[in-house]
Amino acid sequence: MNLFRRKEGAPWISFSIPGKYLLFILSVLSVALILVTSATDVMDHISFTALETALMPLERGLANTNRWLSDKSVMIGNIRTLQAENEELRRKIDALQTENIYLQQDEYELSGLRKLYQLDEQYQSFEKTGARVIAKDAGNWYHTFLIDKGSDDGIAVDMNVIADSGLVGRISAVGTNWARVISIIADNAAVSGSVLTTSENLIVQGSLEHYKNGKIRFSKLTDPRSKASVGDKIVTSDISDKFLPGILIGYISDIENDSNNLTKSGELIPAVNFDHLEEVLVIITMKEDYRETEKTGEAS
Amino acid sequence: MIRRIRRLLLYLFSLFVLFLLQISLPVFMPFTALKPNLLLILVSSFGLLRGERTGLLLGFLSGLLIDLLFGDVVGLYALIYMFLGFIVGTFYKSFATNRILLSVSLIGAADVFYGFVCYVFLFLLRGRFHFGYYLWHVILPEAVFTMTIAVLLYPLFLKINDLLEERELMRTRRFV
Repeated sequence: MNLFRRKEGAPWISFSIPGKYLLFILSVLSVALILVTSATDVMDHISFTALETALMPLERGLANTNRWLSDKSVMIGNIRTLQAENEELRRKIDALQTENIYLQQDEYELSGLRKLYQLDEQYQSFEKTGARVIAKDAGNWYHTFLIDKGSDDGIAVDMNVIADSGLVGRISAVGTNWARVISIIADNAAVSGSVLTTSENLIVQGSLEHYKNGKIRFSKLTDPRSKASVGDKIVTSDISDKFLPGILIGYISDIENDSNNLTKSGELIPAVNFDHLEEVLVIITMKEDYRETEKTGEAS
Repeated sequence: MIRRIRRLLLYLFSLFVLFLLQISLPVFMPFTALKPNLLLILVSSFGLLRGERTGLLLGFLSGLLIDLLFGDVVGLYALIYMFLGFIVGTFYKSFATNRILLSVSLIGAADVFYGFVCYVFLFLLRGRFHFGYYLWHVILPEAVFTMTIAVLLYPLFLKINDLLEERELMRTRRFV
């Protein structure tokens, strides 16, 4: 058998293996890789030094160039409108300053009331770090993206990612200087949420089909007294094992009874504008740690 | 030896550049907008121009790159792109590669095939049965977009390949 025959004008390997054998060998290799990586979480923590050193600085450079270009074009194009806007803004500042004084008085009152009710501002007290979006999934099927911070900056798998004070997704893999985020609009993502007004739980399920209309689907809402209505806020729920509670996901835009008459499903408009996602915040506090602090807090 | 290294460098360089462009596209256009498949153009172009082995090796490398950065499992895209490169490569002998529109339509067909395989592995297996929707809203638009870019990219690859082949031919003649 002439498996390793030498072929005239062979492309790159001097001992050329015929295409079909090569296809077979590499297929076996791929299938083995698929099996290994799907059965274990090896890939979440392996770092690809070569890839990281070669790709990431370039990615960052490209992202920055584009940002710089768009900044400059905006600057040149808008000087006139900016002048007009400036006038208007000055007037607004005056109005806002007076309003601010009133609000500060309210704030005093509020913090006093909060102390009374022993409510904690958990949402704002989470430790966060900012990161830039540097690349996105190569295909058109899922919505995963890369950010420019990794394990060196204290990022770990399953940390929550937010932007515009709404939920974007969670970290699904980490390298030393990059991390991968799976967004909640991706078809393979699901978040356990709850309606803020009624505290009833539901499942927010990313869907390519619904996101084409700018919406996310939710289902399995138990709402026996029909209290939830269009416009209600949906936040991440307490029972989720990966998402911190109380992060805004979006607003109900459409709600209907399921055919079983027990649960409801519908659509929600996400709080985050995913089309203009340039910077995100990663919450360093993880759900597990958060639970532990809560427990020790209760014990003391 | 030199010509092999030159070819290898060409493949690796174009793979690197196109991969960078592919994943940076959302920085230049809306985040959720539909993207052309640049790596598929590369894989099927050189599959057509050089045969099945080049096609499948380039496909394997491209797929592996995508897998390492974006895949939930490693190896799936490598497998898909590799078979794609191999299948397109089988047209090598029987195909007039200098007919640009013909080659571009083959690249479009390859993208439709790629979209279908992706649908089966990524969506159908998770119980998304609405194939018609995905065909009209993802697979076909992507194929059209890819073909539009291929009209520009394929002639470039063709030209580079012709130049290299001419040089290689001259070299062998000199030795004879």
